[in-house]
Amino acid sequence: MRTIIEFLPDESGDEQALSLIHDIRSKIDSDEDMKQLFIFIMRGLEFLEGHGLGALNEYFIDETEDGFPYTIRLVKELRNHVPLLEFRVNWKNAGAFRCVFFEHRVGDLQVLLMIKAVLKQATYSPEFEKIALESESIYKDFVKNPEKYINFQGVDQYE
Amino acid sequence: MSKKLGQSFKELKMSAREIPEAREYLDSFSVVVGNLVFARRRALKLSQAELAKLAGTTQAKISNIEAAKQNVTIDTLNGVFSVLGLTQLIPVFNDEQAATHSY
Repeated sequence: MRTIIEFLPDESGDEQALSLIHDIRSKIDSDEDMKQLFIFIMRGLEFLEGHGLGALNEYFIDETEDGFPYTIRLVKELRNHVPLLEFRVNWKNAGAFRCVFFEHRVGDLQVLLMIKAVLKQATYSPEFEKIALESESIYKDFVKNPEKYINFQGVDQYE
Repeated sequence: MSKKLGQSFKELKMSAREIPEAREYLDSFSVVVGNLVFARRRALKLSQAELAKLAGTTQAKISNIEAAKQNVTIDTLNGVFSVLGLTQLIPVFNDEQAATHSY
């Protein structure tokens, strides 16, 4: 099975999750923490692309520079917004990157559709709750008409 | 919506590799190996501590491998990959990134 990462556009055609990643990337020259966060976001997304969604319920365990261990759960279910999932990467002062997404199967192809993302600075984030609700609405619309959101032309070549 | 499926992410990956540190890290042997170990350990439903015990090493070393830290010895990797049942690696090289020598 092959996995494809896709950024879902909203009504205005904006790929919000991708825009936020580009925004983080634009800060790397002046902010070393943003650079690290960007690199780890890319590693996480490339891991999902390479190995699929099996990362669910698993952890990357790392140690901080002072040797204190901490865990990072790469993907987590959003229990109040099933079947939406959350892609998660934390880095020190940069904050906690959270991206709401879901899985869509096309034959043997697993498409991971990234909807909305936020860079949290605190455990509870009203902004995250907002994008979770917006994502749920987009997901419901997607299910009715996937062709509105995804270009299925040439999809056979991925399978 | 006219973009090819996965096109935006493909472009993002290319854009990331314009940053020297990102390219060096993302395409490093350490990350390739770290991802392999993590994915295979997960498939075998082993915890880091369980894999460490079977491989005769420590949980911290497994953590270092998966986190793509560079202070990992080949002896440790041999032990870990033996437990994970590795029999062969099929490398994929990028000719554009490879060093060349002209005579």
